[in-house]
Amino acid sequence: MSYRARPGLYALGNPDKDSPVLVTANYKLSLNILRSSMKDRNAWILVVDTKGINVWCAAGKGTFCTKEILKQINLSNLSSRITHRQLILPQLGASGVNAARLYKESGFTSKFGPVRASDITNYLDSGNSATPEMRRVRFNFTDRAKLVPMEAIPALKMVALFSLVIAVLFGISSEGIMFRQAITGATPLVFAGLTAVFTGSILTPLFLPVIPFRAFTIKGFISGSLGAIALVSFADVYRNNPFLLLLCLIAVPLFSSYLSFLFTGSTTFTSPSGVKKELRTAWPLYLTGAGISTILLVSVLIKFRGLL
Amino acid sequence: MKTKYLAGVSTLKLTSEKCTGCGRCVEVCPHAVFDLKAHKAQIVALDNCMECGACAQNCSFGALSVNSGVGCASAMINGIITKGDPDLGTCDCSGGSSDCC
Repeated sequence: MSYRARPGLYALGNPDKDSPVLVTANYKLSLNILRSSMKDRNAWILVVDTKGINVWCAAGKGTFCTKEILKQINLSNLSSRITHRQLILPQLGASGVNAARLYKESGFTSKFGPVRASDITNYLDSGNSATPEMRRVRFNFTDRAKLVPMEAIPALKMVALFSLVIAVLFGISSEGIMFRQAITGATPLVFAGLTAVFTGSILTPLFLPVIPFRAFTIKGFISGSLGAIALVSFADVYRNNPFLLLLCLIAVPLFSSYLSFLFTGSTTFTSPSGVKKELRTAWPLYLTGAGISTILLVSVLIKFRGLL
Repeated sequence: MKTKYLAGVSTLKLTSEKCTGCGRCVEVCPHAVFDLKAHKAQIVALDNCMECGACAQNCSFGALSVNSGVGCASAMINGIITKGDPDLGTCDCSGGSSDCC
């Protein structure tokens, strides 16, 4: 499935020479949302080629940019269709577009419209002015909930791969893979992995403002610690094996912390300086934790085989 | 409930002498970091800054500077693993490199 709309000039309703020109990316969903927010209105929409990526991400990586808008202005012969010389750019495109340079090279002045397409008619009706509320990016529970699958699915894939490897390690014998052994040995570890995904990729994103501390690595460590404690109190198998118990109490909070840290890429407010600061502290801890966890895992395996 | 990220890390700098009070930074900032006071821009909420770079990109008077980028852990971890530098990484969503602008 392609998410790309064809770049160029689109007519919405019956636009004339005085109708506003709205600029957007060629991500189909963005274009469709803009179109439906502008129902029963007359306007021009100038769609620039961002390779099917939304405005904000495209601006961040430089595809929603001054040069591309200039290109579409020329290709669509925009100047001949309208008498005014003003573009309305999406506010979130501002990190990619230099409005002053756009004016110098095209003669078009730019105003930055609201963050959300749903505010566009109010913006136009109030003489192209946005309220402070229209200028703010939000990140509420619903926004975060929509992102949870994007976090959880790749994490679950990691756990699936881990489970497979663990099952083989526990099940392998001189006569092939023993399923009973594989399942008995791997199940507690699979549940540990699932716990970390649940706390790190689902709970932390959903309850982000409620979980204490600002660093995502700490938030994930806290939710993961609670998850690990719940897990080991729930099933005797963890408490009967000190290696397994220690492994869960170390690896689950750290993996959860790592998964929560990845959520910074999906948020609307984390700065690169902040993420780098977290990374500097967390990375050595993750590596140490991974090392200790591997040793503990091998111990669990050896004990399971009756060698310890 | 508003979630805040780490305090005191943003690299955003405003040189007040160069500011003409045009208000473009107030217009483009998605986190209300700026306000206009007495025809000059002021940073009123530095810790809200996510270093997206929209303000510096659109300040025609060179009054704003920021080390802009995307605050994405995947990209930085990828950078550390493949190139030994968090600034050189890309993540799944950054796709291929772009030659535009």
